[in-house]
Amino acid sequence: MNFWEKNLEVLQRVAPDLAATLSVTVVPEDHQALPSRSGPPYLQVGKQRLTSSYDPVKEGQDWAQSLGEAGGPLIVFGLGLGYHILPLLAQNRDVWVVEPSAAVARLALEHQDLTALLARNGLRLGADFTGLPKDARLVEHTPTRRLHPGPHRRLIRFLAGEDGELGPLRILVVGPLWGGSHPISRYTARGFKQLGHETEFLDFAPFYSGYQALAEVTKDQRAEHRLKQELLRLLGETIIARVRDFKPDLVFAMAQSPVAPPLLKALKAEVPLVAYWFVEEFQVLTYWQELAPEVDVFFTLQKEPFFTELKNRGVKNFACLPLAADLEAYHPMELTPEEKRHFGSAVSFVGAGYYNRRQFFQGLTDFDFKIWGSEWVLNSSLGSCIQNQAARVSEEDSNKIFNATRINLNLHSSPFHAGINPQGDYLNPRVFDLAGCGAFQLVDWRSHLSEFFIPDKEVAVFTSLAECREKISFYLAHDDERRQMAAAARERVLKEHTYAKRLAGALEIIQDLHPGGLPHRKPQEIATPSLQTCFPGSHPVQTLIDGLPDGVPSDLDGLVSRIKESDEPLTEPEAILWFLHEFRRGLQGRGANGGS
Amino acid sequence: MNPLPVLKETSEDVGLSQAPMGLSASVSPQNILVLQLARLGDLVQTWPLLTRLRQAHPGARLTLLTDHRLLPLMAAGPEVDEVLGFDFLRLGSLASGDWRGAYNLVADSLKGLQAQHFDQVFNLNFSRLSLLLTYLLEAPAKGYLPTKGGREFSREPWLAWIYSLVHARQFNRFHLTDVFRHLAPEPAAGAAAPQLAAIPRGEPIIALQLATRHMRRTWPLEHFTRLAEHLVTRHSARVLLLGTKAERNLGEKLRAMLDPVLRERVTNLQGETGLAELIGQLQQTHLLVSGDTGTLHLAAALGVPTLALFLGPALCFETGPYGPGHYVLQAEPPCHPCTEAASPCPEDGPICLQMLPPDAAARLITSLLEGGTAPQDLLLPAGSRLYRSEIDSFGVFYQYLGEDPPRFVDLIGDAYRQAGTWLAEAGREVGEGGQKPVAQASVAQVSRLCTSDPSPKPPPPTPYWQGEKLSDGVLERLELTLAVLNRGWQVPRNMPEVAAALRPLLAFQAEMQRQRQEALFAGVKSVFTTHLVGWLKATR
Repeated sequence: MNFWEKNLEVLQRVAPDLAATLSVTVVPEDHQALPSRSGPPYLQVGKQRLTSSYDPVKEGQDWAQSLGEAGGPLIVFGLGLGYHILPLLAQNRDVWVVEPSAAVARLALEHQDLTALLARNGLRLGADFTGLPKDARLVEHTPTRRLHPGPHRRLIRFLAGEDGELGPLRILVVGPLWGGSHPISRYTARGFKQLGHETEFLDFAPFYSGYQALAEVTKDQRAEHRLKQELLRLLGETIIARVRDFKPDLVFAMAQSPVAPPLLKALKAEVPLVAYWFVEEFQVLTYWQELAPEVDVFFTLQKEPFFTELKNRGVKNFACLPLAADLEAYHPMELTPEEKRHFGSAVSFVGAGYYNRRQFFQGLTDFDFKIWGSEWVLNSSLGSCIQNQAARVSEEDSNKIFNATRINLNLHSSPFHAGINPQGDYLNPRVFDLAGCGAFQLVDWRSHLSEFFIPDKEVAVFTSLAECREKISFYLAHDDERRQMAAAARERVLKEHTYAKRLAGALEIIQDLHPGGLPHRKPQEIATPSLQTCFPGSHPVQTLIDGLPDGVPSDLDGLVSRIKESDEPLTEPEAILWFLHEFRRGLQGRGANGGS
Repeated sequence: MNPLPVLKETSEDVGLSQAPMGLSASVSPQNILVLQLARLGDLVQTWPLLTRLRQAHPGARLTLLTDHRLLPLMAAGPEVDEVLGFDFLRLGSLASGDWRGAYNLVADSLKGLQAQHFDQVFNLNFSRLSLLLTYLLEAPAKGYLPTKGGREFSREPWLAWIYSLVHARQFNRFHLTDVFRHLAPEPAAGAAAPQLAAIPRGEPIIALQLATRHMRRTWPLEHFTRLAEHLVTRHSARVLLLGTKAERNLGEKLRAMLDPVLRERVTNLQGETGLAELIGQLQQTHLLVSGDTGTLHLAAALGVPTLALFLGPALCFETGPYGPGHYVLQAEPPCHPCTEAASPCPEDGPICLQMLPPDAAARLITSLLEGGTAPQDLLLPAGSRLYRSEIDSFGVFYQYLGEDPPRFVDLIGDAYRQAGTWLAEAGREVGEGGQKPVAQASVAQVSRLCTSDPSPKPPPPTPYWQGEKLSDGVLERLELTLAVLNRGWQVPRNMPEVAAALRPLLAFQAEMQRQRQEALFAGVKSVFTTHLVGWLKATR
């Protein structure tokens, strides 16, 4: 009988659920138990070695010894291959082990006799902390902690008495008026709902036609601009009104939503936490500069050099949050023969006619190639490929096209390059949408890609036009491989790239950056003392504060917005307060920029 | 995706212009405050206004309020009775928590000012801060006027005129210094414009200001490097690099790109000079080469010859070196002048960056050093122009030194300048005449001003193109402009230039209607039209 069977036998008796989970766990290729120099296997995950490749047994013994002799229960974060646990078990110590990765646990159980641990029900997987003694000493298997810092922190919080489970939160998702981030905002709201949070989606799409209509009202550009500003200001007020009613724990604002710095400042006084998801390219759209410093957590798609740019502007609470797939919008479909004929082709692309695509696709017109989407030039060499007179494609139709097409091209957009952007980093929504459909995808290489999908196993990748053509030909001729890859992509998405999964991670990040910020609603502690405490009771400023209606925050911003509302000539205290408010705004906007 | 515009405060609503524009003519101000709270360059460009005020009201007390950090600058400025510095730096540190302290700083400064009982306040800043201060001082104001109980702005007609040109900056021929100057009345005797020192031949000291406040205005570092090489090699110049500490890496990079032998002659002073030392340093300099920066304005004000490099949003007519005899190389591609926040430049990058070649700057400087004048045949890329500054009765203007025939934009720009010259005076006279509230100018008054010889001063110099034949295209546009103005024609779609040319006029018209000063608009329109008609006649 081998290790696995022996371990499994004990596990099935003591913790049948865990046994079942580990029985079906598939160990991915990048998790390997390889022979060490001294003989017994060592553990390698991807590029990380989790145990010594020379003498893992000795390494484990040394580690256990370094813990000292003191008794008492021990919780070890990280199982590795168990070398460091065995000495503890041999000493009969009270030990529990929390291992974040099922694959690693499975490997360990295949290569090590851990019956002693399992018999005392000492193994926990992932975020299952049942039965762990809170007074135990927590130690870590460092390579595991490095790979899984989030789960480690979660364990710490649990042991510290903070409920590891986030109770259901109240989350307000604020969407844009239109544009690419609109579907993403819908998916985000849905994702939070799926996680069990009471979620509201503040959808401004109904205002978009109004916003556009303002352009028809007047030819005077400046007047039009003013009208649009008024509308945006109104929408900002709408957000505040909703927030006061709904009282969310978290406002999650999407790129292009009508939030400007003044609104974000007002929001700070109304909600515990404001997060912003900037799903744009930071060099192309630079409005992040004024928004990032104003929110509690700033999520991006890109990492460096964006992170450095943010740091340079004094922004500390930022994190990368990649996109994901919404399975309600994108899923495998059965199509009628009519639909297959209409929406299907050998090769297709759905999306806008950015410059690089217009150039690159000229090299593919000899294939059965359908181009869907807007902003394509009908009167060009691509003309015969363009469908529906370059009309916009609905989400529903995209789903059908993805399902009906044999090879779905995904070329990330660039206004500058003639084809592929060699510095391309983040993944566009289409990467995940296609995988969600279980559709075969041929995508341009991006530096983030392999973190999400295994290149040429789950998605096919190209780095040049020649390679693209080669792969198209190949996969058109090898249907089985094509289908296999598409199915693999779908599996991956289901496991790791749904919005629910992604947003759960986002909430973790928010908790990490603002410990205690969720879900308990604390009165917002501002670093500066409140205005009220600075002035004696008889001071005219106090009179003004007293005159504030309920619900208006008694800080400088609240006071000044109240002062601005009136029509009466300004009194001296009012003017001075407005002066201070304006001055501070200028400081925050400009940074240290003195004379010339 | 177009990013949504950021919410900004709008402060354009004028409403009634009840704000007094000045004292009634019978009383001259005795105690004047000039508010200039902006940057170094703005302060320096206020100096001629201070001089003019001193001359127009020799008996009055003249006080200047500026940013505390700029006080050392005033040692080189015109004589005023008192210079006050508002301590923004201290306010900044108080405003991060000590609200009482911050409030008291403002309140105390205000009390000090109120105690002086100014009887006229020149508010030169388009900012909420200076507006509130002006309002609280409760003295008759000039410039940006508080209205509606201190909540809103109004611009007096002269500033409204300048502002209307923001709609089509390519036609703006009013220098900021002159905008300020003409807020004050005409003095009995004008001051002679300072003449520039001649640049010595041997071992001249030449300063280079490497950075400007925005990428788009900044001449590429490689160009500066090539220029420095030329100056040292050909003229044995001593080259000084100027700027702030934050810009020091540019200077280091420039020196690193030079041959070690040449490097010795190039000294990096960036970040090493305070304001007082900067003034001293500039006074020792024989020539400054700079973009549109405070240093440029300071040098010009100190009488130092300058070569200005203007590109991107910088327009020499608005903010060039002030005074006679300065040179400007200006890039004028079709997109000029842009704004700092404008849409991205075309795919290949900003074209203007390459339109001012270092060789041209080098040739120009060599010619100045060796012959005292610009070369006759300076080759510049198409769309780039060389100007030399001159002073006329109105203020500074920039004379084009080149062979190209006049363009539509030149003629229209000049027409606006003539109209503005008229307005600067008419606005004042209207303001100072009679007991009528200044809000109502009678048509009779204004038409008198129009038809009679408006000024005893010599007329502005004839434009360089006087007598030159205008091209058909320019003629056509001129005629069309007049037709639209005089006969109410529609602007055809294929003539966006003409539509642009009229936008400032229309904006001014709307504003004057709001301020119930229609007669002022009638006046400028009349002058504007008269000048255009004059050229048409001359050219036929």
